[in-house]
Amino acid sequence: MKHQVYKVVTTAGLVTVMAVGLSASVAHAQNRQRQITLTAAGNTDGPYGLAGQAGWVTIKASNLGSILEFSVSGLKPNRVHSVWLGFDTTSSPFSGERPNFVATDPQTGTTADVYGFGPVAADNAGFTAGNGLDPNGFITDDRGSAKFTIQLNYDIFQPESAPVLLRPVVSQTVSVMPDPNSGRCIPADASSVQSWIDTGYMRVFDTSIVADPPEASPSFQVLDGQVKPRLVRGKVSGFTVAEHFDGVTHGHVPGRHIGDPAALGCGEWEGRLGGNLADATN
Amino acid sequence: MKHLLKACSLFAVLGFLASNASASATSIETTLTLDSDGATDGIYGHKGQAGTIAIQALDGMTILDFSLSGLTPDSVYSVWLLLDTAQSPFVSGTCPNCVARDANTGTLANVYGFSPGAADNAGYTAGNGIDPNGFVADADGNATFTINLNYDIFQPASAPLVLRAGTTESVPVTPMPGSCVGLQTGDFPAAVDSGFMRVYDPSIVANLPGVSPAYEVLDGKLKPRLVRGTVTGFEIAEHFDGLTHGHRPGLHIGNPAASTCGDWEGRLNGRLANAMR
Repeated sequence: MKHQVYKVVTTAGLVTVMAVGLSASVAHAQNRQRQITLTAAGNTDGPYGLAGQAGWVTIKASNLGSILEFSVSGLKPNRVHSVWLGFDTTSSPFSGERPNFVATDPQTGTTADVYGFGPVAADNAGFTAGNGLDPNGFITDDRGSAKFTIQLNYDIFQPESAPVLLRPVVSQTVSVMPDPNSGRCIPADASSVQSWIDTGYMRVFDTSIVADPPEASPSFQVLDGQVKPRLVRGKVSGFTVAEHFDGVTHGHVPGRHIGDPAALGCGEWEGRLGGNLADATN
Repeated sequence: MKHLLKACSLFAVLGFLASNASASATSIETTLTLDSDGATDGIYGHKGQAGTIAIQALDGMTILDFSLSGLTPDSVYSVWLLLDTAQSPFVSGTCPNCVARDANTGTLANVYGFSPGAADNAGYTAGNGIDPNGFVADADGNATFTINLNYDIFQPASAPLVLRAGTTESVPVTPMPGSCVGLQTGDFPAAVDSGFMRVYDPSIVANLPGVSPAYEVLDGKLKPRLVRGTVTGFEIAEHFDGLTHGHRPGLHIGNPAASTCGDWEGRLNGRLANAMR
C-alpha cells in the first residue's frame, strides 16, 4: 500500500507542478484579461425552476491557452453542474440550422453531424462520462456557491479555437416516457427515451497523405504530434452553466435538455447561467 | 508522453484507493504469460513479441504490472479485457454483434465483448493524448507499466461493458485488397469513442420527485452503477494510426467492413484461466 500512496503523492505533485507551470506560462505570456458577467438563464419556476443565481468568469488568455476563473452563487446547494461553451455557428466550420448543425472537415470537405456547443475543458482532458466528475464539471457548496478554475490549452478569443463535438452520441434506451398530461417523466413498458452519455471531437482527415504502414494503415487522420490528432475547431461565442438533475455529468455532452421535444420531463439538465464572449469587459 | 501517462495513472490510482473503503478480503497474486497474437506477415505482420502480467487482486481491486518486449518501437498500444460473452449480462449467441441486458429494466443495448483495461472512473481523452489503457513502446519495442483497476478481475461481473454504438465521422477512403485508398467521396466510418452501459431502474423515486430522469442507479455520488461482465483474458493492441480511440480500440483490420482501412491489430493475448498462481 505504501507503494500506491507514494505513487499518488508523486503523481499528484507532478500534476500540480504541471498545472502551476501552465498557469505561470499563461500568466507570463498573457496579453488579454477580460471578465464576463454571467446572468440567470433557464426556467425560473416549476419543478425545474430557479431564480436568483449570478456569477462571473474572469478570462486570462494568450497564445498558450486560457485560464477561466469562475465565481457563481445562488445555485442549488450540493448539486452537480457543468460548464459549456457555445459556438458561433454562423461561421466556419459550421453550416445548417439548430439543432441539426454540420461541420466541414477543411481537408477532405466531408461533413459530420455536430453540436453547436462543447465542454469547457482542455482538448486533451480525460472525460469519465459521469463515472466521477468530468473536467468541465463542478459541485456547488452548501450555500449554492462555487469558485473554480478551468485551464484550456487554446485561446478562446481566437477564431476556430475550441474543438467541435460530433453529434451522434452513445446511448442506451430507457423504459421511461414523458407523461403527456403532467409533462413528468414516468416509467413506461416500452423503451422510448435515449439516454445520452458521451461523444468525441471531430477530427481532421487527409486522404492524400501517405499512411504508415504505406498505403495500408488508415492514418489519414492528420496528427499535429504524437497522440495529438488535429481537431476541427469553431469560434467560441459564450458560456452556459448547466445543472444536472440526475447528479452525474455525461462526458463531452450534457445529456438531454428538459426543453428537448424528445425528452421533456425525462430531460436531465437545465441551463442556469449564461454569458456572451462579446460582452467581455476589460 | 511520460507526463501524460503519469497524469492518466493518477486518476486510476485515485479511483483505486477510493474504492478501498468497500473492500472484500480476497487476495490473489499470479503471473500470466502472454502469447503472441495477430498477423505475423504482410503489411500488418509482426513477430517476436512476448510479455507477462503480474496480477495482484486485493480487497476488490487489481494491480496489473505489465512487462512486454518485441513490440514495434515507439508505437502506440492499448490494453483490453476480454469478457465472457456466454454469460449474463450478455444475451447468448449475439456476439460478435453482442447485446447485453440491463437486469433491472430488461432493456437491451448493443455492446462489445471487451472492455478497456482501466479503472471504471478513469478519464478518457479519446486519443487526444494517451487513454488510460494506453501505452507507448520504447525505442527498443519494450514497455513496462502498471494499470490499477478499482475492481477485482477475478470476480464475476467485474468489468464494465462498453456500449457499441460509437461516435463516428465519415472519411472518404475505401478498403482495397492490400491497401486503403483515398477517394473524392466515401462513407467509411471512423470509430472514435464510446461509453459504459449504465443500470437504470424506473421504479425508483426520482429526485426531483417524479420529474427528474434520475432513473440511473447511483452507487454513490458521481458513481452510476454500470452493467458488468466477467473477465476471461487480455489483449494488447497495436494502433497503426498512432492514436488510441477512447473506450474502444477503433476498427480492427479483421473487421470485414474495415479490412485494410482498419487501424489496429492484436499483438499479445492471454487467458486469465492460464495464470500461474
